[in-house]
Amino acid sequence: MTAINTVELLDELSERRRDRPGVSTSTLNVVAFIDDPERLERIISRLETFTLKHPLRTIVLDACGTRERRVKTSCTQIDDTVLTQSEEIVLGIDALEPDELRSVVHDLLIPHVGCAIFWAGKDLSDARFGMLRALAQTIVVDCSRAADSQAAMHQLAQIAAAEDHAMSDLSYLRLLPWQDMVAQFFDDAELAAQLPAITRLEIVSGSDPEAYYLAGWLASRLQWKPCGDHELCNPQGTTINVAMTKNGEPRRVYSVVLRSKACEFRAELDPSAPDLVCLTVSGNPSRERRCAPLVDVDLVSLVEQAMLVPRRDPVFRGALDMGCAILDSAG
Amino acid sequence: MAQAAPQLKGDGLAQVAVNPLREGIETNRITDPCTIVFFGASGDLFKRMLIPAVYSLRLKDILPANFGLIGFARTKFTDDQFRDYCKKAVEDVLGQPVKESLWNELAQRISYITADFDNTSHFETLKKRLESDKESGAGKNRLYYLATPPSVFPKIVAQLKNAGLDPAGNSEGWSRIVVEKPFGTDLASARALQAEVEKVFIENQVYRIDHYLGKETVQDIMALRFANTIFEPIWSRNYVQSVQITAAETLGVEKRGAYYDNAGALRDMIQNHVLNLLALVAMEPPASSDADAIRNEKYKVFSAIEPPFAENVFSMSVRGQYGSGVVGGQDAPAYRKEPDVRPDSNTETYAALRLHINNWRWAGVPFFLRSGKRLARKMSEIAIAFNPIPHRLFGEKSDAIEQNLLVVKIQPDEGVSIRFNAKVPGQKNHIRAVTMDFNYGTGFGVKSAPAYERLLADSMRGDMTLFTRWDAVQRAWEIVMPILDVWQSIKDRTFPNYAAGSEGPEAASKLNPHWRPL
Repeated sequence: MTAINTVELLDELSERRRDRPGVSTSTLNVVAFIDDPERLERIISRLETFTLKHPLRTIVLDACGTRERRVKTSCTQIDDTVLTQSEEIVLGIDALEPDELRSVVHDLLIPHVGCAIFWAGKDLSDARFGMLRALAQTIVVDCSRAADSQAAMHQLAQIAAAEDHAMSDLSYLRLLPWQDMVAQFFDDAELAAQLPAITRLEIVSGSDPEAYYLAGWLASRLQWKPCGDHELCNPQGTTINVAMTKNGEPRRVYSVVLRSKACEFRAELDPSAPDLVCLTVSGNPSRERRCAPLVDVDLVSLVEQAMLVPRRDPVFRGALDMGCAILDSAG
Repeated sequence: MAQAAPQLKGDGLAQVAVNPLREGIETNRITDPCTIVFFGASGDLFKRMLIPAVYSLRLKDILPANFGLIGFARTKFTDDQFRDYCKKAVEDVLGQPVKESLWNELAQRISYITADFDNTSHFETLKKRLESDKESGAGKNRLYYLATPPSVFPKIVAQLKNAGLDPAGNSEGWSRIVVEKPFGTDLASARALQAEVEKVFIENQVYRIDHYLGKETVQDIMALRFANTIFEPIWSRNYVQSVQITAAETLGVEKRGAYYDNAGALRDMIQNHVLNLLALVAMEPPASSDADAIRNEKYKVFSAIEPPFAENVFSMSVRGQYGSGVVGGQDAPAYRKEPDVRPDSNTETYAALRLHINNWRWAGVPFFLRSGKRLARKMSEIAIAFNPIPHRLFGEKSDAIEQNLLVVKIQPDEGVSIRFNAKVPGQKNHIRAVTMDFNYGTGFGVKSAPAYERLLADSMRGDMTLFTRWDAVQRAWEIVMPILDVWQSIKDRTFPNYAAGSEGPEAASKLNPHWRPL
């Protein structure tokens, strides 16, 4: 018997629903695990925004040492009909062993409705994460926030290889605007012809996973393989040196530069307008500088995207595996 | 595996390189460079819809890297004056200033030609302008957008050919033309216009726009039907009792009196918007999501609708014209008192029809269509009423057991709702209808993009799915022509026959006693 009485919690939810007759249309269970006290309230408030928008049952597992336990329900009412009903349970779970945690969460899930885990824990090898994964079809992590982000990427790659979840890493999802910017260079056929001649890749970012994901993504798409410490080789045998500089705010990318002997492709934040990314191609061939807005996506939108449109994305898997291979090549 | 130089793919009109970094990157970007020429760029449509859509596409970084915009109209503007005009138009619609850094970049790509559509030399100026922009790649791909009154469409098309701006004169890139509705004012004029268009453009270069088709919910009709299994088995005469399609407005004719008085509700709304909605509801599953596969199925629906015989027109249609009344708490004048409307006008501002689709799926199911101005509420929706229960088991005698209803809401709130019956909590077996509602705004937490934004982007991409093909346009005219002919030849002496702000003419309830209240 754990310190948490799930029957009592579910009764409390039923009681609240009774006050609001209507149609409950919960479409997903969302389980969020948080073990960083500094981020706890922020994540809870962001999840509340998410929960208010969608008919979900959200179970927040507070592993920050607090003993809080609360239950909330919310609904949207138009005329006399309740349209959506969302429920939120926050539980202090420090006292629970991993198998007890699994049992508690299992009992609190709406049966026969999908389950997504948002793991905002520091360590992906935590046994509790393993227990929770067994209950879910979708997992969302943020390697960039892990205590050891490089280890987290490796653990995620192992999980991806062994288990069949729809899986997303927020560190990777944040890169989409940058991937798009870099891809833009090569929408131009003349510039795309330079791809086999690339010899250097430089990335400046505020934390590691973003840089490794970007390098891994490029390598997997262009069939570059690791062939030395931070060196990749393309199918023609040309070596591409990879230089990663950690600088600036975590989870932000500042520039991506690709060089061949003839020209340089530079995508970088505009120092005078940090919400713009400017693309320049210099050398031969060259292209006029062009700036585009960097769509900076917030946490709720990223989680929403990961949970509501769960994917088994081979491009992500390729980037993850190759990012880990580049990490390994550094010894 | 050898690293590839970019591969080529194409539709016969243009060839584009396949970028190995594009796979799996979900963006809406249009990759082909292009220049849009807006004919009628000083007009209302350009100001209210088109230039705001262009700015929004730039803001979302959907426009191609090499993009050009040329305004071509009668009003005298310099390039700078036209850029200021565009900026003000965008800010008026947005209700806030533009993002300066992005606007400045976009503005550099905007230019203007003061032009008379009769003057051949102005089209030659346009040709020189486009050719001077070929270096950037934009000028070789051309999208001609006719945001002008329909009367000048044939003239512009002919001038394009004379100036060598037709697809045949542009071997280096693609040339497409976007034609605003109405495509013709009746069957004969539509055929005449098509004859002119096809002298210059082949069918897959002609984008006939119906902005209703760019609305998110309209596109969701197909997703609802063909991305779910629960609806298809009941989507037929076996379960559906009737279908109602409504496009109701509270507005009057505003500044369009001169146009509207020669058009009327049947031409302005039913022949295009409403019939297109009907086709999406009634069509068979297409073999693929390709534009032509979908458009084939839509055409089959139109083919299965038998145009009425003249003697049946009054039993299957109702027309109305609004008199004075109150709309939204404000006095509204009668239609005949509106600016630029003839004081004895016989033009209908309300049209309702009952159509039947003579095929295996829909035989015997009435499709009720209605559209009107100055009605009680602005509302566009498709309501599918299912058969009543065959045997009453639950509910007190006084309880009305309502039919199940599936409503696809198109505006003002885009979404889908399903009505079903539930037991009212308590000792008795009271039954009450409840509604389960999906709303795009709250369901996905995003506001749907305006229809013009989507359609403009699709025309640049070369995606014709949401544009109407000539065979469907022609058939839609064939369906409504007998009604138009009878209505034109026999004046309705009861006009005005509904008050502004009401549900429409009383006669409409004889056509269908079960219209959904507005």
